[in-house]
Amino acid sequence: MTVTGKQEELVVNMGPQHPSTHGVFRVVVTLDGEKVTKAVPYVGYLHRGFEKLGEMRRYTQYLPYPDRWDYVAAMTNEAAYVGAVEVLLGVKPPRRADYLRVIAMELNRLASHLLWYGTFLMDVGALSPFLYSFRDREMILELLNELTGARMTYNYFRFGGVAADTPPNWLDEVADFVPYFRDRMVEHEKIIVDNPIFQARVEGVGLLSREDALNCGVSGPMLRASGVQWDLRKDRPYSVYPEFNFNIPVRYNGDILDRFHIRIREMHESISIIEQAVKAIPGGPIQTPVGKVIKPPPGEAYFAVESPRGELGVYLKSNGTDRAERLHIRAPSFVNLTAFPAMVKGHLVADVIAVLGSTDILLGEVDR
Amino acid sequence: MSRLTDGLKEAFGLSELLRPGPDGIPTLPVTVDNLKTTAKTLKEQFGFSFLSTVTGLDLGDHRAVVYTLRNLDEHTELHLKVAVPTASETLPTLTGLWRSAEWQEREVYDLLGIHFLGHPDLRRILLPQGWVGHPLRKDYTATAGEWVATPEEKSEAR
Repeated sequence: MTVTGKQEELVVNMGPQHPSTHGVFRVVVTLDGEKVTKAVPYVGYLHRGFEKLGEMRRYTQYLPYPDRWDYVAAMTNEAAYVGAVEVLLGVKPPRRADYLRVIAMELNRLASHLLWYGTFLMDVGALSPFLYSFRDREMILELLNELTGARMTYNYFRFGGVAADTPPNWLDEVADFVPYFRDRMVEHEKIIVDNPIFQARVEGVGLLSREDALNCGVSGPMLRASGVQWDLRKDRPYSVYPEFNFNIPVRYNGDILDRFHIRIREMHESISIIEQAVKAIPGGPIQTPVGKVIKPPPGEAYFAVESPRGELGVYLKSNGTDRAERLHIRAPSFVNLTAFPAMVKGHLVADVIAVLGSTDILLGEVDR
Repeated sequence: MSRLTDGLKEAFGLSELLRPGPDGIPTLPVTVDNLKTTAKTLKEQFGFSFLSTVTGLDLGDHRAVVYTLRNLDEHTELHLKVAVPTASETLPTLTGLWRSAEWQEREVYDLLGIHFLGHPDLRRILLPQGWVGHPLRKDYTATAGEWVATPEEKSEAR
């Protein structure tokens, strides 16, 4: 039987409302049958004007805003903003505050990676791990709630310190969480890693070469899965990270499976950092006196941290007044998306979601 | 760091010392005419293979763009700063050197109105295509009027 008729390319719109785009993200995909010939992303649906707001609010008034950039890893956002202001102020927090910041940031990294793990596996069809990862994530949110008063938008960092010291027994609770979480990680890995359907869907899919990753300014787990061992906590250190013993995993195939393994390994490393920090945390004050009026001397500074998604930076320009002249947010998800169209070209339409999931983008920081 | 600044002083014949700013990163100021060749030299001879951040600034009487470059092997960083000519509000694109500039220059165009000559796809990225004005400019008041989409703007994607 011969097939007659015209052959056309099909243009499919995905988003901005879509259960698997993880936020208001839109991608217009051109298909030749099931193969993707072109994918054009459209962003901006969650643009909230954070950079303009940075020029309109006093430095202290702006403190609650960074939580809302990448709202799944709020602590690292706060670290980037507060860090940039502290550079211009010439202020450093006391050691205990730095330790609390690291514990908070690493707990947040775990929570972020657990959310990614559950939702990504759901995207490729494994529905159960989501429930397991969210149960464990719940414990972390509870811990952070006890420390800061909030589950997601913490407003915990202050210029020169942190807002509050640990509640009674909190450090013991964190210490108890460590072995519990290690057991859970064994469970998480057993559930999915050897599953042949999972492997077929992610191995060799969504390739990003080392050259392309570097050229596109990719950072975070995506960069490390493409063979570049670069992590700001080790290679551009900040806070008290140099005092801890931890490894930076790297893999060389640059496919979705490698990104998956990198994030799993990162969770192991994070729990190890938390364990060390809880043991070694010094006593002392949690705030360096900075006074009520925050007026950094005129100057420009770029301060960056390693968020769960990659290099999160703040370029801050002060003109000596009580508010910033310019606040630019370097969002890892935004820059990483540069590589996305090339990663899906030639793949099947079902792979688009898998590849998008593997980038672990967060629209709040993409759009700001 | 001083080896870097010495090397840069030698290559670009700067008369003044390239002192690092409060963030420990030196700033190399260039004019729009020198931007492309300087950037190329920095990438090919000085090993700045990674473009981390593109920051647009409105300094009131003129705009500027800062390209924050990184040499991953030597762990050095540099702010390449260029003043945008006010008559044209245009700079040459650096997407040919680092694809990392593709979306970031689009954002600078969108929010600050700086055109990047030679950019493969220069259109708005965060705001809708029909938006009027560039919000991060200092003369753009944040409570500017409402924007209502025209039928053409509503179907912007094809």
